[in-house]
Amino acid sequence: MSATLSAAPAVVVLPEPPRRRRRTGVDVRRWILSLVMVLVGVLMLLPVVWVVLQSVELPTDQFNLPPVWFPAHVTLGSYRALFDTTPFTDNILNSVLVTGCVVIGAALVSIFAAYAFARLEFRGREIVFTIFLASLTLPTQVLAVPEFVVVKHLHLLNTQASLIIPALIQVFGIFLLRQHFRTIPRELEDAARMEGAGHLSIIRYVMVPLSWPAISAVMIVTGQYIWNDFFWPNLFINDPTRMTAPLALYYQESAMGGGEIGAIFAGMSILAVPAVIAFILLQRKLMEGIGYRGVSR
Amino acid sequence: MSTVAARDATAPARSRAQGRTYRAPRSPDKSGHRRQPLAAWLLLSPSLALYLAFIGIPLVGVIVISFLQWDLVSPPKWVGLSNFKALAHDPQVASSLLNSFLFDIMTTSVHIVLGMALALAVTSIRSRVVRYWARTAIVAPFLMSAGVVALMWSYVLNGETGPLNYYLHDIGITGPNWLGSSTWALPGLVVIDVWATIGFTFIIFLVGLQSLPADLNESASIDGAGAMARFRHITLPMLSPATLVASVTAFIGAFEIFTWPLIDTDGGPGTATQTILLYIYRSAFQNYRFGYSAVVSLVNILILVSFLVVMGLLAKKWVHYERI
Repeated sequence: MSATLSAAPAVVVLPEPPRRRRRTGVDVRRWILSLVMVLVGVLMLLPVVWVVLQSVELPTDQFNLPPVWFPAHVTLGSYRALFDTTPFTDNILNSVLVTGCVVIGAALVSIFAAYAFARLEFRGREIVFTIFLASLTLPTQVLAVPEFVVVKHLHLLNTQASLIIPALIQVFGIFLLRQHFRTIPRELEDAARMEGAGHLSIIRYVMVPLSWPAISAVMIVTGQYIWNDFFWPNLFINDPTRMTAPLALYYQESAMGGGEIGAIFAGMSILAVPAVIAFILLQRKLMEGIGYRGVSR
Repeated sequence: MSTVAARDATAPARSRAQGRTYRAPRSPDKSGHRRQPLAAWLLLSPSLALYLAFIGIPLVGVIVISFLQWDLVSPPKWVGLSNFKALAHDPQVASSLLNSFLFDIMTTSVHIVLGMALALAVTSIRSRVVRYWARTAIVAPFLMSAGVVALMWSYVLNGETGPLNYYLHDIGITGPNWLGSSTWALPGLVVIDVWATIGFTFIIFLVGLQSLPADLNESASIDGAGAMARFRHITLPMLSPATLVASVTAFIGAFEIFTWPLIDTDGGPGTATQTILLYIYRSAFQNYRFGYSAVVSLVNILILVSFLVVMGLLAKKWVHYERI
């Protein structure tokens, strides 16, 4: 640039100043935008930080206004109260059990169904698939009343099974995996078939390994949904020891009536912080999965 | 990965079938070994059974139950249309629907505007660190349990002891007693909802923006189009599929809002935040009028289905699906 300047100053120097000023203008705007977005991020996370702080502060610092952002003393008393006075260990284990069973079970159910829809010819395939897809348009909560009746008649009320079995059908997973299976070249299966592989082997050794990114995205999104769900546990479970963790916190909070409210904040922190960490670890997968889920609607 | 590509995911399969015509006629004689109805139905049986039990039967069941008087303890009694007649004389149905609609319109519009703005802002930031930070912070609340979010905000929004009003006061705004005021309770729930779920809308727009070709913006800029013109004539039309997905999802999700009003306001004060799903829940599980709550469920389903039909028709007019 400097060579050009010295070679033909009369020509180049004239357009230079406005161009440079415009660029710095853009830079300043970008810089301000970055600053704004940093602040937006801080604001989004501030409520979570506040909750975590209340959970580790001494009772004298809790709920002070202005909030104590830099507590001089930190205590785990609220956490001890949570685990000592409520069955929160059971609740966490329930959440782990329910989420684990649903993630694995729903993935298997979806893989089988998706394979049948993507690869096998049978009468009524399109109709069944359309009926499946149609259910994606309505949120399942609108069927809460008849669903409750079904679960009651299966004698599942107040059991973890009531949270697992109905959740094993994840139509969006079936849809997504079918789309994915259809992109796998048939030649691979034909080769496997020559070797004498049946459908289950083809699923196991061809479809699943080649679709692992899609399958894991489905599993993560399903897991996130089940782990966090409040609606169905609230409907089906009323025994405190059988509740999943988020429901248990709500139950304990309303039962406690302001006594050791720090314990509730400890519970909220225990449930909120993993969400943030999980997102940081699984960011790419989750974004993909959430994107797919939106798209499949 | 892109919205457009994923929406059109059947396209590759179709074009492949056209490209290799020897694959196309999948008649029984050519690929007879794939016609295995027994295997297919076996593989489908778990999902069919689950679908039948937890989606199919409830769908028929909600219609059947609507003709019954049933508290789930004593045997059901057939009452014909009397549940439907009761609907006409129940002011709570109308007020719950109104609350749901008001909440929905507020939260959906904020979702679309804010979600798009945040996605545009994040995409235009050069620094990877800032981009990562903003993305993480915006999406993280979406990954928290609705129950935890609702509990947390009931403390944050507390009129006297909550930190929000304290800091609002610092900048010269006297915050209302959010969840305890019949005027501000519904907007308060909108604040909670936007905070908790904006991440979803944000991701939909982020994915949509990734499919937006940069050279289109550049060439328009060389042709002298200003930032506003480029937004109006390039970004906005190219984002219309994402906007459709985001608004349909936000609208339907918000109409079925339940956890915030249950935990944060208990539908109150009075019935100021009693949404339609909360009313269905209360009719069934607090008043034990299962038949009547099934009727209200039917109204709810009818509204959602008609919304989807209208959106489907409108989408043909303003959504651009061309790929570049």
